[in-house]
Amino acid sequence: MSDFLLKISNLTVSVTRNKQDIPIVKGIDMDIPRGKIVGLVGESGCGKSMTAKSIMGILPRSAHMNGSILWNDPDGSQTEITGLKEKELRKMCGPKIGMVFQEPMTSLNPMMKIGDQVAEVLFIHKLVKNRSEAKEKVIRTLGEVGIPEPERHYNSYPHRISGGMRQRVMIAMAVICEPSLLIADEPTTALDVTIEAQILKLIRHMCETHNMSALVITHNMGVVSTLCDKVYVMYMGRILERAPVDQLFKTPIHPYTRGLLSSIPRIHANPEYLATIPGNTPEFGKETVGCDFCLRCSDDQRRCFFEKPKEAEIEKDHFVSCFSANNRSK
Amino acid sequence: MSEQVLISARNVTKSFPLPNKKRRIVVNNLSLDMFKGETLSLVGESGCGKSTLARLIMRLTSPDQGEILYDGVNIAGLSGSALKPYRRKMQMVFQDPASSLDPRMKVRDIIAEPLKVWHICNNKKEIERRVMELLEMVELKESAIDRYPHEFSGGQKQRIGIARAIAINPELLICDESVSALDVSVQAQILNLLKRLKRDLGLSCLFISHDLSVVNFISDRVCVMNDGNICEIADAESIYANPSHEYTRYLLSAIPHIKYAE
Repeated sequence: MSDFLLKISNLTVSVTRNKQDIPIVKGIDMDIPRGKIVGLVGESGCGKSMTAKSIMGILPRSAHMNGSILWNDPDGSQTEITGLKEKELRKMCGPKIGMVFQEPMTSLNPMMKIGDQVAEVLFIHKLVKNRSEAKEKVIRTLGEVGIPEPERHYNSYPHRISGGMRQRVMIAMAVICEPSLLIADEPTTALDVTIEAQILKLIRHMCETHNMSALVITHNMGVVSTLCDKVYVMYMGRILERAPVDQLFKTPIHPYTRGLLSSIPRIHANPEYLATIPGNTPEFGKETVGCDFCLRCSDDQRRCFFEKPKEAEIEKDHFVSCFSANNRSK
Repeated sequence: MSEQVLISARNVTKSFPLPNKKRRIVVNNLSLDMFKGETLSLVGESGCGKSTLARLIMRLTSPDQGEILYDGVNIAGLSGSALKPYRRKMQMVFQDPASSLDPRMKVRDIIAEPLKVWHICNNKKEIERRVMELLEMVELKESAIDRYPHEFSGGQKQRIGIARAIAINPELLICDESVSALDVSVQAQILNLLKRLKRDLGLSCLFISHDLSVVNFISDRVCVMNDGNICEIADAESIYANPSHEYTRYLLSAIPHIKYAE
């Protein structure tokens, strides 16, 4: 039996603007193993949210995608998500894949009671017979995600509770159908550090108790380091490096990953100036012949400008797309 | 660093009205000294009053009680023209670089505006020269002068915001979450820029952030706030090495750490 839950191969997403196709995600491969938490890191605009949205089939109208997203159900059946019609997709998103969005302030309906919003998911997917059963289940789930006095909060409106609590409600909505995969798009970006720590702990706890996998999208390396088992580093719509989390932080190979890590200020090391990656993230739509990172790279070679580096396995499960890394492995 | 007090808050209280006729105290009987040439950081969770304290120091709002002394002069009760000389000494860099620049003004006009308001340059030629000089200081190309804010990335916009803030040679620069909206690689560039400018221009800097590791990099002293009160104020090094207040320890323990294997 194959042990992956979701396998993305050669996924491309492009957006049509002014009758021109702008590639956003340029052919990525990714697999999410069962029961593991996978992190997707990158700076804003690198295409990480688009990747998540294409799994859920909620890309904006102007976007279209190619490639394959294969779902390997725990019951043994395999489904190709990309080819699904809306009706079939609905059976996947919700019961099997749950999603937590970034903005807990705007993703809840301000006119609906919290309990009713969470219960709505159950009614849509016909997982409960009647209201009292739904209410019971919602209250149990709200308690599980750490909302104090769930009976009372069932009847609260979103504006009455804090940002951290709202994010807990979002998590409750995503996990109430007991999905096999949880996609969390920047789940803690809008929150304070103390609340962030609680939410991260909660996600980890939910994954462990429900044997759930998770795809966590973030730009925060600290979040990746505390939460994830495996990391994908994304830049300009491509995966530059992927490795188990300890391996990546121990020996980051790609110049981009190394640059990213060294530009984070640290508590217990205080240099006079921080190391930086020169330049800015290039704009989308300008496709280069060579490596996407060559203009900002510290150890660029002539070759980098004319050829795309292929992914190479440096160590077990540690893949890098860079010429200098390829040389290193030889 | 000279031990000369630049600005000090004495028993400052500020509250805002609530719908039920009560008032919420945001800054509670707080006293704080800031020395010339130092970078003092205010850290705390959202709603702890750190932005309100900065706005009080800048006199964008006035305190309910207490004094704010700038170079020994109480500016808490001043208004209008009496306050004007102090306005020139304090400038602010805001959090969101996209919304703090006028989208319909060219970079030239954005940076020149404070110069015109304060009549610092006598003619257009001088203004132009000063704007060019400022662009160079914040490491932007000269060609940026004729472009509009939307043509720049977030980090570059923040550089324009910084150029505008330092245009009139202020003594105190207040940075309210100035790097929290930026990506890490760009954040590092802006932090380096701020540190270098502070050294070159001899600025004092009040730095507001919720990110303790950013604060550690930039500051000389750190002030940890919680619920309108100061929990702890100490040198950056000692506050991280041995935090004495329970809340500081709690904040520090909450940061998701990168497990570097070194």
